Amino acid sequence: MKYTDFPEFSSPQWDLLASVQKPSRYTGSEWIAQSKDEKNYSGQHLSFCLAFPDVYEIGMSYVGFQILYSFLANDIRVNPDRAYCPWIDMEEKMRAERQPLFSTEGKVPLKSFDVLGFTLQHELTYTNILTMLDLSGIPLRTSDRKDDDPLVIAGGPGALVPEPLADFIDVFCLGDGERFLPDFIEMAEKTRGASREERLKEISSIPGAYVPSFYVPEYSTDGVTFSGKPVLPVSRVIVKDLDDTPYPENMIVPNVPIVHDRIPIEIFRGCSRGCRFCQAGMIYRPVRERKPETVLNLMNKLLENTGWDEVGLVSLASCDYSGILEIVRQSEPILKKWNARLSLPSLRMDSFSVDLATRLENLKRGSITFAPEAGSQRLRNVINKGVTDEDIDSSIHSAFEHGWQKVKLYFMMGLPEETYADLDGIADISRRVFNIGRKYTKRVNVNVSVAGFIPKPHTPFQWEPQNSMDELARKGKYIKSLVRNRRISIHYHDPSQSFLEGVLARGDRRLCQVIETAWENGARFDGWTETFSLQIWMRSFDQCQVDPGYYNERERSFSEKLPWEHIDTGVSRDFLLRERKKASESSLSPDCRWNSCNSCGLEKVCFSSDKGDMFCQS
Amino acid sequence: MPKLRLLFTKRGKACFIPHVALPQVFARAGKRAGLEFNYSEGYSPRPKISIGPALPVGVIGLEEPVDVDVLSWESPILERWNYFLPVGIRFMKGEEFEGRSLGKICKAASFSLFILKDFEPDGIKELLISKLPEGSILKVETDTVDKEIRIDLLDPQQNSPGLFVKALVSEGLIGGWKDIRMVRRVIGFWEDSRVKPVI
Repeated sequence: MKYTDFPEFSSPQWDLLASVQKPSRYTGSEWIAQSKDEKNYSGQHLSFCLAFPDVYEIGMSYVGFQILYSFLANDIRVNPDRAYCPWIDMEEKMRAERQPLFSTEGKVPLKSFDVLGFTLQHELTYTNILTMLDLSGIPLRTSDRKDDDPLVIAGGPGALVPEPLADFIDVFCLGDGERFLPDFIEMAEKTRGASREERLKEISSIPGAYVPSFYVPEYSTDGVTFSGKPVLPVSRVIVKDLDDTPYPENMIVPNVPIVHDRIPIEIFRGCSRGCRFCQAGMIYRPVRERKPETVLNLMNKLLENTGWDEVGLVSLASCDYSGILEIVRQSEPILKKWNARLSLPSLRMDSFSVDLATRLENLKRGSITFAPEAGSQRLRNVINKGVTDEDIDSSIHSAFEHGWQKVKLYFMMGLPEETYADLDGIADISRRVFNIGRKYTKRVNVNVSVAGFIPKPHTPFQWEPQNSMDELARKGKYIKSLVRNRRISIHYHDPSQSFLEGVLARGDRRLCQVIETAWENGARFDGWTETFSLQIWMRSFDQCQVDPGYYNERERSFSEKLPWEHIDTGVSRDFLLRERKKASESSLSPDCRWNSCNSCGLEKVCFSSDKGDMFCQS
Repeated sequence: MPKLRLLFTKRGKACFIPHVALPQVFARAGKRAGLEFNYSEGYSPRPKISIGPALPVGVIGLEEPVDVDVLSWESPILERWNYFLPVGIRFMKGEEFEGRSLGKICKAASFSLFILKDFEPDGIKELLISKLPEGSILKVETDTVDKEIRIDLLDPQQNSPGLFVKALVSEGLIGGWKDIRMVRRVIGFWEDSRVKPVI
């Protein structure tokens, strides 16, 4: 046989792929919703690359991209593709070989796309955005981009706190992508050929669009104010009826294992529980459900079209879905037909949820997970988690009764109003869970994970000082020291990563320089323990003469003008303040879906209201 | 129900899909094609699909075997299944079989090794025989025109082709995998002094 019988061997990509970890991260060829043959590559279309700033196996697990990819693929004006951040070994090799970053499917250089759309899921992925831009030859700063550079846009939860990335992103997309994108696509097409400045000006008038280059921040002891046009605040856009919103009936299926390797079906968006620490619970309001018939129909189609053998019902609190029992019952024949199983990502701490989980989950596969979050009733009330000691006991009893042997518990430390007695409570609950379990089985195993609390914008705790790294380390060690039982393992998150996340989470535009400096100094994949370097970041803060503690450890006054308040999520400042005050009284605000309205600010768009525009008014 | 034994090629980018991921690739594509599989017992039932000895990532496979337990099949199924497979993986043929598993019958494999540097073919055979487990090298032929080394290897389940690379590196003939390209031409029985495919 001849070497030339195998043309793939001569491809410049072959050596690159053969020399890196997990080369399948870069090869694509997944089963996708539409065959590339069906799309017309005449160049008339708007080429749109969805860019996920982390590795392939994490990006492929993100349900948002499945939804948006399908949404774009079904728009005749658009030609979608995807890109993921190369791991550090691939980045090094690409630079050595001078290979630019290509999209996954068409192998098109990212620089050639009309639009590059990032998703901001986690603050510790921000440096990866710079990697992807730089490897593509796209100027990092919006001010340096030319007319033929792609429009660099960004959505997801991080878009609602845009300032730390304001120098790098042309347009932030606030709110639901399905609501934002049609207007954006129309405008992007309409303004083809115009100058960048003109295009951004037109785009800035779209509902949900925040163009940071049109605003100048001013810093004072009162906080941050912005001057510019269009008039601020910019409001988040909201899809009112999820049933009326397209959901993919076919999905991109990987050829290799990914983190969440199953069909995701979004059963509802938003959350009404009102946990005070939770940013997602505030920024995705109000609750909008898909009807059970819609969910079941999607389940059947997706199992048929994708070949996956597991379905995940995705939402912020799946047990709260009003039709959950109906779904579980009626999905049985569908699952049987396709030899598939159903899974729920998170459980409430009550016996109903445990019963539900038992029906679905493979007991032998792993552990049952609960999130009490705080070690005492008082502190749980402070954060509005509302789980009682009786709830904990009854759900734990229920879990072991149903045959579970391994329990995983999530807690936080460094919460507002916390005392060391609450940390004792974490150890107490862990021991109590173990002791309950021992009555049922000798093989009981309790795994406790404690995360440092990071106050987030747009939540009632957005003014809180974050515990320092030393404090968190002390608390973590303290909790560990309380439990000697080897069958109870207690693990706490690296406080230095929590530190950085806290700074970026509540930053302003002055952090852009720090992020760029840190990236130049080698910061990559900051969310990964193997690549994170606190030293690089501290050196970068120093070089830029920025005090990180100003952002995360400082207690902010309630009158301070916060650098994210020019972004309106629909939840009012007044509500957040009220909730903060209630927290200090350990007073609960019950779930507004089953109790009275808590007047969060979204009354005009809420499920309980029949009227209301598709995007909220402040 | 008799099982199905199939031969497939693994080319191009698909060479970078790890061997152990293949059963799931076949299962998902098969389901998309409307195939119904027989499932294993136990807490995590899976379609019964068995692959042969490992083909390392970055190595092309030309006649790779896989056993599949389906409820029923008709001949156009392979074309239909191929449509749903990733680019680079294609079934070439399949037939019903009964008998021993792939692990038991895949006793030999035939490779083509292309060295991307100039090399001296003399002594390659002796080098490989000396570096690899005794008796594992069944045949070595070199072709200097095509810069190809053809190697027939015994017991591919135990002996990985990575051993060739190691041997060549130890003598300074190559720096590593980047200096070679490899094809597993066929894996199966050793008969009449050559490797024959399983079907």
